[in-house]
Amino acid sequence: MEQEKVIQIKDLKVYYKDHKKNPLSRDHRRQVLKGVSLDIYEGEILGIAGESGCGKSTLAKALVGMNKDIEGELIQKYNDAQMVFQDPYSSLNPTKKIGWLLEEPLRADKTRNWTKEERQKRAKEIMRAIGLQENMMDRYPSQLSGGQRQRVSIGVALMKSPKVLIADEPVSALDVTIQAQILELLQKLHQDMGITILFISHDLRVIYQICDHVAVMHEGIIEEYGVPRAVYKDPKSPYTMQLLEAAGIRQPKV
Amino acid sequence: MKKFLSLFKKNKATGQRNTFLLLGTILTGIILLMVIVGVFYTPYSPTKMDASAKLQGISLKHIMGTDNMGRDVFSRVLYGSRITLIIATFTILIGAGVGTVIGALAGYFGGMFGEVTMRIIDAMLAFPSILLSLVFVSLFGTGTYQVAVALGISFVPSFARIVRGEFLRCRNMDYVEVARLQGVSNIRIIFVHILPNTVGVLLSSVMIGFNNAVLAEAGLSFLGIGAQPPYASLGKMLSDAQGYLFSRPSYVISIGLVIVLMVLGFSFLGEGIKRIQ
Repeated sequence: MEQEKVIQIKDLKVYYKDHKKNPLSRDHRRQVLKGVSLDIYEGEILGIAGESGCGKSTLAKALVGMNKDIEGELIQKYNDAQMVFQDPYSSLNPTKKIGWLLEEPLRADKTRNWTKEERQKRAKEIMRAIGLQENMMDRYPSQLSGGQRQRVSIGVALMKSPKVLIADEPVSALDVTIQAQILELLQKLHQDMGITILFISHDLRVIYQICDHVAVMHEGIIEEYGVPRAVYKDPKSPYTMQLLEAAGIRQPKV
Repeated sequence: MKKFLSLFKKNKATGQRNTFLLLGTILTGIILLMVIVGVFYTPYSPTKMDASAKLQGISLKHIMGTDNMGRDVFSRVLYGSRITLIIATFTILIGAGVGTVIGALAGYFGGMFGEVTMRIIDAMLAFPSILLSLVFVSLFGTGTYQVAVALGISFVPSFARIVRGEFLRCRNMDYVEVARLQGVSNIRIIFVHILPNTVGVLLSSVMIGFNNAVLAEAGLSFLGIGAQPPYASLGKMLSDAQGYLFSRPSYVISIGLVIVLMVLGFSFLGEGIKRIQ
């Protein structure tokens, strides 16, 4: 596999503002990412694992520019990363039809002007790629199932054919059979379009199944990085060991 | 149209009918019909006085009687409800229009701008709206449209607050983040992505606001501000009629009834819209 880096993260620190108790006091900055260094290679699926609140989503949001208060270096080869959110019930505007939602990224595209025909043609292509019937474009999100909605969310992210897709817990809100279908879809898109995927999940089994590399995060730093098979077999950090034991992948030593 | 009609039928899932919507539509329909008919036809001229037929009771000739100057009350009601509706409509257009924009901007951008805007709005809310509109009337002068503008301004704060609340709720939804990620402009996010999601709340508060506008206009007319004689809005007519409450009760009651029907119609409609879903 080509080993070119699409994203290089060097010593990334991200701060959040704490809610101020006193309106006159200065904002209190809380460090959420405490120096993360990570390379993402072209065409791979990189899994990021860790418990809730460890900074997985913060890292993802920093990559797409949703966090403003950051320090450190963030070198992106393409700068077009798109993101898929966890909850397919809130990531689609309930008042808009599926077709409209798919076309919206193209309407907002500043780099070129898409005609109506071009937009519709592209939307139909994407509908096919995400495995939905074309007649669903006239439906509202509320008329779709959770799995179908998540497909649409992925479709919306793919409209401008980004080179990097960040999936923030894309299957955590879905039930198990639907999870498998969405994972299959992501793998298919990865193969067909050569897209690099940053797959964030707390489910170590899912990461093992689809990822080329895995980074385990804990309290704002990366505890361990490597190929899933090697990491799962012989974890270097005690935290990874704990995670694997909690997930039932490793038996705890007595 | 079919979808519209199905709103009035019994809901198949719950077996319940949206009675509020049905009643509201019927009552509002009657009022609108009266106004539209009043544009083309009134049984008598609403301004023609007849000294020989002063303060008559309800009869076939004058179905709501006549007033203290012998004018046909029903004809005047047809004409007056038009003025009242015009004032209420303009009031809501101004109040809801300006209020929505202010509330949307304050809610979406938040921060210092939102705080300062909302404190100004709070300061406006601190005065009773009738007092506030009196101040504006004294600035603009009296007359139908001046009153509408004055009332409209005094209605801005309540709409701004409602819309701001809705925007605060929607601002952090994932679909807004998605739109931002795709590079959609802030203005487009506010008006195309978020605003349609506030329509339910906005529509029912427009209906309630409409009622308040009708009542506020009646109140202002009662104080002698608003439509100028010989024409009169419903409120002005009511204040003219109050002196004859005991000598000719049908005069006051028939005008009051029209106001009640109007207000009731809009509140039912508002409640009905709130229950659609």
